Amino acid sequence: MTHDQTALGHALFLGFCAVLLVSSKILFRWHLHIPGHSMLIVSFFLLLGRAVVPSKTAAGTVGLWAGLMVVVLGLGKGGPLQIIKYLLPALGVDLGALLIPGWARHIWGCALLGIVAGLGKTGADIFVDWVVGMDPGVLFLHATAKGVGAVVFSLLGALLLPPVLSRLRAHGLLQEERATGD
Amino acid sequence: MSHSPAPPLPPLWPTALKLFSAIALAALALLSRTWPLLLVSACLIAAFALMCRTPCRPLVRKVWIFLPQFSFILGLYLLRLGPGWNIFLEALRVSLQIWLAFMPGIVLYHSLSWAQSRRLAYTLLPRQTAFVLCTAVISAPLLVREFQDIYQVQILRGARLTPRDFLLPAGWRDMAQSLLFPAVVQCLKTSSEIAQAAQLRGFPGQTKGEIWPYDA
Repeated sequence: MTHDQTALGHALFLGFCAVLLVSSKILFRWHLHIPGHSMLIVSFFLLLGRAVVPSKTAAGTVGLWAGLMVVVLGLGKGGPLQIIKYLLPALGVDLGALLIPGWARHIWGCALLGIVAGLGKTGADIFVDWVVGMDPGVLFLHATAKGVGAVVFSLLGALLLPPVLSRLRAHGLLQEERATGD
Repeated sequence: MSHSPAPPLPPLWPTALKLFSAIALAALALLSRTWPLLLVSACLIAAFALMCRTPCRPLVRKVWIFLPQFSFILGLYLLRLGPGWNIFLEALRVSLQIWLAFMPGIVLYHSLSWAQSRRLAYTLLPRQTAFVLCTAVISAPLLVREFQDIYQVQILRGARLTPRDFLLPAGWRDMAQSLLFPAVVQCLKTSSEIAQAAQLRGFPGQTKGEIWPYDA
């Protein structure tokens, strides 16, 4: 295995992150009835893509591709707006990673980006509720109930990343840090 | 020995029409804020399902998704605005909108063939994106199987990975160290190998519109 992935290799890795995100959601569909529990998987794969691939839009790419797959496969609630539910957290992760250079080296950096992803999901939920014309008071309650769950699970998913990244780093598999000297 | 020419490919426009109709119908359902519009939207989605000849069973199964969501939204409405017939109808309308927006996707999933989706991806998306998405979808069962193999092997090695272990921090630590790390390395390895194999076979190729590697 080569450690220096080509652009196509990186794109394929992001594609795998997107497809694993979607298939994990299908395979490990927990009947927890806790709003936002799927963010555990979503935030892990978004942050993984951004940490492994040295591109400023890596998480956005994973989010967009996962959203496209979910729309074509007809998963989740919200029709074509499902794309926003993946894209907004992903763009939040990309923006957060730009603002916090070296986030992947610290647990708090991963945790912060996880929280940003959860907030992005909450923003997307608020948008869907607003589009269907939900009463503003109920929308606030709904967004709070789903948002708290999304942020907590997103944080848990992000906290799974630092041990994985430290082992990848130990094996010299993190190209981003070697390239930028970060 | 004479070779008969390959049969012509079926036209792509019905698939594209199905995709765009599903997206438009889902958007219409989301925006139908009045009962008459919602009725129109439901009728159009039913007609779409009939035209696509979707089997009934997967559609009927999705009815059960509606009930928990409706009870949750109704609970929130009752909590915020108090009991009343209008409140009940309002909660029903919002839940129906969200549920109806979800149905065209199910119809689409059961009516699209993989070969046609792949051709559509190559028509609509940039070449590398289409190749990556199609390869990722094809490789998904392989990746999931490898993931399951790693899980079984780590369980045999004594890793704490049963559902009950996730109630303790040790279970989460083992999941990251002994399950997620090898799985990520496997993904990196597979993506590197596929990229190398594709480039050695001449990806991205020259002909516009060909489905790589099938038409190459």
